[in-house]
Amino acid sequence: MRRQKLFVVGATVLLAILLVVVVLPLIMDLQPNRSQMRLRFRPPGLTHLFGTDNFGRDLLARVIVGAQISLVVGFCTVFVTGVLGTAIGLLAGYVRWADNVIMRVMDAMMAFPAVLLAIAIAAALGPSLTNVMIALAVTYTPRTARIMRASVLVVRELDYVEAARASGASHLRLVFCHILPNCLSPLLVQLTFIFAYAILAEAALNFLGIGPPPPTPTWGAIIADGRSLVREAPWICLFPGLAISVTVLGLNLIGDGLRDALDPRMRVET
Amino acid sequence: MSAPLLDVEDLRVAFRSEGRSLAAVDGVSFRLARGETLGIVGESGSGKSLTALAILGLLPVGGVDTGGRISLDGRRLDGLAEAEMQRLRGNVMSMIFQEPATALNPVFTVGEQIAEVYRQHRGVSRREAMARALEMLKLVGIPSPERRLRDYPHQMSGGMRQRVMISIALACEPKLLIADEPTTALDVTIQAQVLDLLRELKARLGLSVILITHSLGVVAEFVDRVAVMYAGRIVEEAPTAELFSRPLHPYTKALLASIPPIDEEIATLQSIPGTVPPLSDMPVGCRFHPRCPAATNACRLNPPLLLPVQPDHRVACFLVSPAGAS
Repeated sequence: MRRQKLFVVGATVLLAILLVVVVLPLIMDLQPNRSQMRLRFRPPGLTHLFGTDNFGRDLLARVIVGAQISLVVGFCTVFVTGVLGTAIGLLAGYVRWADNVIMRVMDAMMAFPAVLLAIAIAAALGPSLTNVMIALAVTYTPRTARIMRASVLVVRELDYVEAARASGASHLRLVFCHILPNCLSPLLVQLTFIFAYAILAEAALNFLGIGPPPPTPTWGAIIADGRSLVREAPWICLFPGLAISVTVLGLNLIGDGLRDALDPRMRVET
Repeated sequence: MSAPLLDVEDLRVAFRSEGRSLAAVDGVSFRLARGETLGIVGESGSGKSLTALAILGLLPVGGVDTGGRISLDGRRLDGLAEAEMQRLRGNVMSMIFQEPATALNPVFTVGEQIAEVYRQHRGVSRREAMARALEMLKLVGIPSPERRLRDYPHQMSGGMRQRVMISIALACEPKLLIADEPTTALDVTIQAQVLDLLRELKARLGLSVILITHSLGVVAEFVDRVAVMYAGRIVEEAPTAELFSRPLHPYTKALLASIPPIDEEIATLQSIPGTVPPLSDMPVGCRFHPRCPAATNACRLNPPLLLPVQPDHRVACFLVSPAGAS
């Protein structure tokens, strides 16, 4: 029961964020890059809910646009990782001779710390949002492939796959109609967590200046800008930092809740 | 006698392990006539399920050596390309499995699963295939089939799921049905219902059936002819009544003796001393000799051949003299 409540909390948080990110730009005139030098370093107040930064830019607008970027990057990473990881995992799990080759390459990729690998790829490709997404997708694909392969190895030996084979199903049919649908729940859980990791890693990359060049208001970049001013204007770092924490927390709660709901071993408790 | 539907000759299935080849099925030969029901009886690990999988070409590709000849309807199955085998499986020959609980895919409705096989082999439209699925559910006696068509496997009882399995296996009207312990996972009353259903369908559709089981009760009730397997070989083969009234191989005798009599009290249940030898440590000669009460020196040296004592009764034992020898 407690778990379910946490899932609801996570889902609510994420829905609220989505709502803010989608609806606020429609009703408010957000100008994340308009600087008003008269209004530098305004603390949070009624005219500027999150305050302003050292160029007099409205932080609320910047954080919301940053949220759009983070969510888009997170979603694209999840999508690409999901597709690639599933394909690779299915291939490795089903085609026995391919397994060793594919998984050793994946292991080699996993040997690098995730953020380090992403930094290397993003640095090599150049500073742009697309390259950040490519870097993150490449970084997280091996994890997804591994989870997928593990599920495929279990499901492929189940009786109903054998039964389908005994009734003349082709390999493609076995893989896509009988194995894949039964491997989806661990994948779904994993992708929720990858969404969270991707947002964290994206913030880290932008913080380190590997993301798109300024003045693009990514969360990581805003924090990096405000870092040297943290004593004078702590709100510059505070709000994007809070945004990252809340988003990642929400996603993790959803992931936990999904895992419990989809894992039959956990279901006994409820 | 017309040509048999299925002719298995000298079938061998061996696993490669640590450089050795371990024969789990070793020179099995039998024939199945059209419309006949053959029971294959044996303990776990005697090779009966492997024999079935070999006929359908479902053995894993790696690490397994197979040999021998399998012909269905005069057509060689061994060495047939995988695509050809796919066309035959579920269409000309099908199989039903022991565990109906796990042999159905949990994410599709039973209707979809029956329809899938039919569409695959007949290339008909989705609607036609669903109509066929409905027809099959009616045929196997599932109440309110229209509603059940849209049920998922977990919404059904074990007996019903086995009926669904039978529908899937028979949707394309195969000639050969292999039933691998179809009633083992079911409780006794449901077992009887499923066997009755199989018997009825067999008569109606003109099926030939191989029933794999370790239950002599099921055999006595259901099959025309029995092959008894022990440690990868057929040790005795006879018409059911003959086998029960005149068992010749010591293993068959021991098996029959281990059935407790229904009308008298007994002090202890009869059992066969020892256990089935492990694959890696098969005795030389007759594989039953370490457990055989009557084993002689000859039994330890060479494997006995499966020889007829009567035209339709074959035994692989040195202690039984073949027809015309004595």
